Amino acid sequence: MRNRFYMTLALVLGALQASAQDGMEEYFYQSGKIKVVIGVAFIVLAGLIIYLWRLDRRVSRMEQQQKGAKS
Amino acid sequence: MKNWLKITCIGLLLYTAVFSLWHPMGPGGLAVSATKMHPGRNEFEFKGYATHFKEAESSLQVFVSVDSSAAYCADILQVVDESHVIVSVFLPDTISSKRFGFAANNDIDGTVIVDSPVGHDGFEFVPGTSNALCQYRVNQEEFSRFGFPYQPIIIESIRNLMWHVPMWFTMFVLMTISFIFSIRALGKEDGRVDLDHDTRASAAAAVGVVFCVLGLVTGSLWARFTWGDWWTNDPQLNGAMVVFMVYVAYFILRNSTPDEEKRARLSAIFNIFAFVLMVVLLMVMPRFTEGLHPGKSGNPAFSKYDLDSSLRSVFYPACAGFILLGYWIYRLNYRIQKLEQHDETHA
Repeated sequence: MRNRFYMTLALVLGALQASAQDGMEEYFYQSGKIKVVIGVAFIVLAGLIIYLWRLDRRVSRMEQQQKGAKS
Repeated sequence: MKNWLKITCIGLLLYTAVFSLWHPMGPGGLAVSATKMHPGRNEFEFKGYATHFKEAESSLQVFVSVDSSAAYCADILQVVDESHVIVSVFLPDTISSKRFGFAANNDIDGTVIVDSPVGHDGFEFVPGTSNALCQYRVNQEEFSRFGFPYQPIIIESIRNLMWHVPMWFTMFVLMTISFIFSIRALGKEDGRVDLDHDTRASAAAAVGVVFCVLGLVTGSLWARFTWGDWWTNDPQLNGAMVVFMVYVAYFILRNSTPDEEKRARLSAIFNIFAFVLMVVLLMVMPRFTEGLHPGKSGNPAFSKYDLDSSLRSVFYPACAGFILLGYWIYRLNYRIQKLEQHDETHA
């Protein structure tokens, strides 16, 4: 399950990169490089959300253990 | 963490998100379509950015400057829209310098300058000759420009200042917290290690590394579209990468030491050195070396020109907001780590 997710991710990213190499240049340079800012803000948000996701998983694991200990 | 601090943090970050993206850009000169200047009539298009050529058409002047004292005004102007004007300028056979500059001036934007090298063909260069000058105005300071300052090449991506730089400030704060707790972990009177302080130190460092990664990745994207490459051999960039690796090594060291007491002692000592290294590599070294990244001796980072009041009004709240967010996440991480330890000892 996990592996499949990463493989799909890698494939999608690879395909994106291959097809969008020229498109990306154009995309980021348009209208005074405002898209670079969008990209940077997106990275910051995405990074923080991924980290919060991991924290959440740790809490879930503890909850599960607590449930197991009680029953 | 107190609730009012959390609310302040959210407020500051919302303010940052809104104003870093919505605040308009100040006017600037983007480009000229001319590639070569020659004696006689030269016709080209002057492109501005966030300018008001149409609105202030009556006061618009475009001129070609040759050196600091000589300029030739365009006598035919055809305004296309707010940021495009087609101009025609007459140049004599003999001029005083090979460096052509282009500028436009109007009552709203002040003077905007295009500073890209343009070729020349057929001129006779005689220094000191400055004939056929027009009356032009250069007034940059008088206009209290509304908007973020325009900078060539960077243009809109100046807004990244509010996203990229606070990442590093937050990392600094978190690593300082980590450093302080590492010292305190070692400083117990009976010579034992304070395990709680060790947990705090590692929790802060972990969140610090997250912000470090965000700083590296956002910086890399910004560099790609400003300097043209994902990574440049700049002392500040390489220093940041080394700092990142050192802190990764800190966690590898922790994970490879099963004994709690030993782990706390070793990692606390490692962390103290890591912090000193970070200060040297990120704050001291770059100031003595040359590179592209702002913050150098020859290139004072965000000095009075680069960081004007409009940037500050968003940049400082952004820093405060991200630092609070970093602290918040560190507290969460610490509390979760504590609960995990509690579970382990009671399981």
